[in-house]
Amino acid sequence: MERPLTKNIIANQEPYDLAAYQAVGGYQAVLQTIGRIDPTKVLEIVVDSGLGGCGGGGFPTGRKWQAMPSREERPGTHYFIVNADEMEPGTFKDRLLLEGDPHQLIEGIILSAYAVQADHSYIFIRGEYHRAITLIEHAVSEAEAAGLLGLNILGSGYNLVIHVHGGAGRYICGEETALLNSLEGRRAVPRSKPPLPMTSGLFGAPTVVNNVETVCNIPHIIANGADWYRNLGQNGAVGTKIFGVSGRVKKPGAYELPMGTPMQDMIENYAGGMQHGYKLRAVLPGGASTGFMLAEDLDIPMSFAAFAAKGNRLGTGTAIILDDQTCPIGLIANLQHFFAQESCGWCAPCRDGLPWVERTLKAIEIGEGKMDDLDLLTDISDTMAPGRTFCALAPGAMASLMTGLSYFRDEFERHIRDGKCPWT
Amino acid sequence: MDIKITIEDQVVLVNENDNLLAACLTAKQDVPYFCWHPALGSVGSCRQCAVKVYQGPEDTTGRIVMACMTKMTPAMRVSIADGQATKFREAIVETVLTNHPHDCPVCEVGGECHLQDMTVMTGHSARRYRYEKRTHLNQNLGPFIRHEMNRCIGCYRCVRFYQDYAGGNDFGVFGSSRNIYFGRDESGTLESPFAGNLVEVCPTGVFVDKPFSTKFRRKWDMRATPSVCPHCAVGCNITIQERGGQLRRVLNRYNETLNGYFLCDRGRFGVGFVESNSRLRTSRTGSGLALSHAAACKDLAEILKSDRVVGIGSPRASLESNYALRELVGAENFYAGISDFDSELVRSAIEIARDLGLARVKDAEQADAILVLGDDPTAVAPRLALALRQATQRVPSAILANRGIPTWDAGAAKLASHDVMNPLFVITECPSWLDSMATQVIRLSALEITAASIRISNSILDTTEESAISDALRKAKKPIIVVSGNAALLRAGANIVVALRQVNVHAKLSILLPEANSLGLGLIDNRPLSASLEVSKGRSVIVLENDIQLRSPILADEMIAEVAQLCVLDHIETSTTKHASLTVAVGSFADSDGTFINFEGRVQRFYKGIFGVEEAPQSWVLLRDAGVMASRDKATTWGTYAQLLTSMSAAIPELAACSDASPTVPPTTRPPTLPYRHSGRTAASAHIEVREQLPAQHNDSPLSTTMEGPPIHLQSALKPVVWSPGWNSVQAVNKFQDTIGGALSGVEERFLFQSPTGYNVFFADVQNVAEDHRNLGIEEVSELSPAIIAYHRSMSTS
Repeated sequence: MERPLTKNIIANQEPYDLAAYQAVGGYQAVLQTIGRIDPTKVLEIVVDSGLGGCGGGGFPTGRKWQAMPSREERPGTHYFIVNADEMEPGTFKDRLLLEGDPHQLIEGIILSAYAVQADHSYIFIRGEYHRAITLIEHAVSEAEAAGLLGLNILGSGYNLVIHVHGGAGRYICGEETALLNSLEGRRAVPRSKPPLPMTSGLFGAPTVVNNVETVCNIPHIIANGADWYRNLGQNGAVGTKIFGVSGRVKKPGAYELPMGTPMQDMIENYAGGMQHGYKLRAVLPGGASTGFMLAEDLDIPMSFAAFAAKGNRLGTGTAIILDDQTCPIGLIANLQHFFAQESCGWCAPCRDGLPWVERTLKAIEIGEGKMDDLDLLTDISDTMAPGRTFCALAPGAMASLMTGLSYFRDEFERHIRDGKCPWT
Repeated sequence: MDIKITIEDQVVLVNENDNLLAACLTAKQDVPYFCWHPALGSVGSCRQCAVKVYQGPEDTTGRIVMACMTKMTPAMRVSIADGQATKFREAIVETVLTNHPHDCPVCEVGGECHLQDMTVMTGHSARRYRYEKRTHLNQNLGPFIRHEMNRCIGCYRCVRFYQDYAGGNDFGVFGSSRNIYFGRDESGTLESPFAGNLVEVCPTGVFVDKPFSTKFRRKWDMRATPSVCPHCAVGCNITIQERGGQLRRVLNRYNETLNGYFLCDRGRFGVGFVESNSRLRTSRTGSGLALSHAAACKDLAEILKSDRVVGIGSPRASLESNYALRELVGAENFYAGISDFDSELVRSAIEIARDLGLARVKDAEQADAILVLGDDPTAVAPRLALALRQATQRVPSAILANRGIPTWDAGAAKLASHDVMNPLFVITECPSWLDSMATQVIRLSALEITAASIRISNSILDTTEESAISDALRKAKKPIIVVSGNAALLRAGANIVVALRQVNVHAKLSILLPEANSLGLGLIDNRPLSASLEVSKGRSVIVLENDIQLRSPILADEMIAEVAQLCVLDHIETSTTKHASLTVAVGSFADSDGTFINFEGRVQRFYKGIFGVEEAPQSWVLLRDAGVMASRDKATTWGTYAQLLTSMSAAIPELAACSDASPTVPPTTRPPTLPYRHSGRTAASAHIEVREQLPAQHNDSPLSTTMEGPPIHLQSALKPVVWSPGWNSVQAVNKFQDTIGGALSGVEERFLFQSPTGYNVFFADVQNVAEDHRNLGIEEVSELSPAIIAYHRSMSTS
């Protein structure tokens, strides 16, 4: 089984430097592409590959790139931005790529930026990822020294400067337009869409924002072709993806698997199944902003399409396991505490609704809830339904609550009826 | 372009460049909102204006959208009453109210609160939130604004006004999640000259008018009267509110093409002079003996009986009062009483205005290139400076169109471009507030500015001369030249406009003038104080609402030493009243009926808004009564205000516009200035008289002094205050505009200089002879307001 994204990553070892990365075929795609293949051709390959955004949305990357205006239409700077502000609870896949193979990301940026004819690139890295920031900065300077970045790359006439930016620690900066505001030195609140960043992005210029994992796929797609990439997947999905498991499994961690691998397969065969004495109760399949799935539904292939068909989201593909000895209300309350704290404060339902949800859940958890609270939670969730808030933060936060209210109704009622948490 | 959409089953014609919320409000539908503001645009933060939209006839499911962020498309169907939308709007109010205190009964905004109105509109009535509310510490924001952050519902209007609209950088938003905080980084006086607008911009009671708090009354307990700000030549429209003979506060009175939704702080807080310690309430003789109003009138009549009396008018007095004095002393004995410098500049300004016309404030806001010459507009005409800022900050519409961003999408528009702005060139002697927004700042002495202006007009016609300024002006479609200073500079500035028009650029000219009625007085008489010096020797001199000591201490001392008698009519104590042998107390602008002509040539009527016991008469009434007593024939021909206007129009035909600007309404249909609920009115004077007082008698105004008359929301153009069922706050203005953000329904305004005569003729250069003794940025009467005094003190100690 091919693992293009993680093939160079060896656990507990320093990542490849430039020479080592080149020795295993790194930057070949850059050498063969920049100045040799027309950018529109590069874009075409990515469109054909069917690559979807790995930040959680799954939107086709090629189509996003196609929305960028040409340099003739919009002269001036164009930006290519890497979203490395990985802050979704339970998610640690981008960190693996940033720390494990920094040059893979740099190579991906060069190719992607070339395809959309961007001349400046920012890598917006979560501030707490100190090690990633150091490693990426080092990789950028190595690539610059080797003439792979900067002015007139490889004599092609193409210019690209990469800036590494450490975030200051807000979850909302992972929202691409809030990320742009933060980069501009503004408050990290989302922008209204339309206009999309491709039309009016960083400093008003045409801008593409892509997730780390998405960008890391690009060198392999360019080097091996769209068909090769499509064939990596299973069950109708394309490529590979880094999936993850956290919770009381035997081997929690990140695994690069074909897209479309059944979730059951990952948990049983890669994460080693549940720890002794624990049963799997439910799963948050792709980070804290996705809805619960019950144990009996885990035969689902892990792909954006399969999850959308079930009314859920694959999200970041990093599953959080709820076992039978953990209070689901406590888990949801904990998640809502995170979201209430990380609301940027821009729109009313999220800013004032999430703290209300958090307090209500805390009250239920400690046995001070009322039966009316369950209707109230449904009402507030409804107020934060998709499209009703300014961005996707609050609807994401509500995914676990809405599914939790329906799957764990008995537990909610027991907390309220007994006046205490059954697990304490 | 107009398109047809359906709102609540009614087919309406809407402007497709509007957002859906503005269209719903234009259709006079009630849709609640918080963050949207017609002048600040849409940002979509409060999520209150949700409606259900169906795209065309096939769409039967529809979807909930925020009306303020929604473009309109033909055949769109809109349901406001939709069950889902209604439930969602109620839920939003319930959510924002989780942290809002239950302090309406002790909140100054209670009863005129947009948040209250919107809460009632959505039907939310019972609180389900049972946890602790978030609380904040308030800051001391200076003498104008009191801060009550616990009331904040996080609509972001304040910071969008303060930073984005008014360019202030000492106030912002801090924190995140529900702990967002709107304030300064530490306590301290707000630095923006437009900070007072926060009072009206805030949908609830976070920013409260501090001077008003000290003499607070509910909206329904105050008399409201339309008026005109007397503190500079812009003449912003204001509403004055009174109770018990006391002026309580000033609110913005919407005027689409002038002040729009905003005032400057001098206008809002400067009126404190009316109730200040410097107010002259009683008349007196030279020896300080107090006189009743009647006795003072009789003494004035005695003076008028002398064979030749000299009258000194005033640019801060109404046209009517100036004209009345001129009639009594004779045109040949009437002098404008201004400095030589002002006299020259007003003469030049009028000459230029007749030839070129004058720009309106709205023209400045919509200009695509600006040249400022002379003084800082922020000091001389603050509201105009705020309009100029809008012109500089607006991303050109071509760029927005290219990005598919509607002009109302304020959030996206301000981020769409970081380098393309409409060019602003500031050529002034002193640092200007506009400097930070300018494409280029040039600091020159007054004389050099004139020379620079001449070079600019030359290089507009002679393209071989390189000039960034001329290039930018030539490329513009609607540039504006804003000029103030000496007469020579005005002409040099006007010549730039002539040059631009010769190359087919329709440039507009704005001439900043020093005082509220500088232009009006200039049309009656423009002879300076110096011209009256010789003739007043040994004569009686009547000075009308004018501190001649301030105009020229040397000339004033000389005049005072040589006149037989000095009689001063004023409403404030000045250094001139100290020398008067007869000081007669008269009404201030708020106590008077009259007309000002502003710097755009806009003829603006203001109305008597204060009715006190034992109050001093208005100047023109006093002059009339004294004239009748002195058996002057002329005074008897204008017994009423209307007759005075007729007489003035006959004598000075250009001022016939004053009659047109002054509506006449039969007594039975006059709009009431007292609200229906004017409560406690008998109790207020019960210690004197237990019966209800007779209503104030006043026939010179088209407004009624009582509670009787057609309801405010049914009245035509002349509204004492904006108020409509369900809309108790200042936002009720929506109900009185034909289109939201457009002109007030039914309002007709009068302007002078509407038919400019010469487009092609350059003005001859003049040598400026008068010395510039002006004290820039200081206007005499607002400086007496306790709030303004406190402001200066707080700024000098901070």
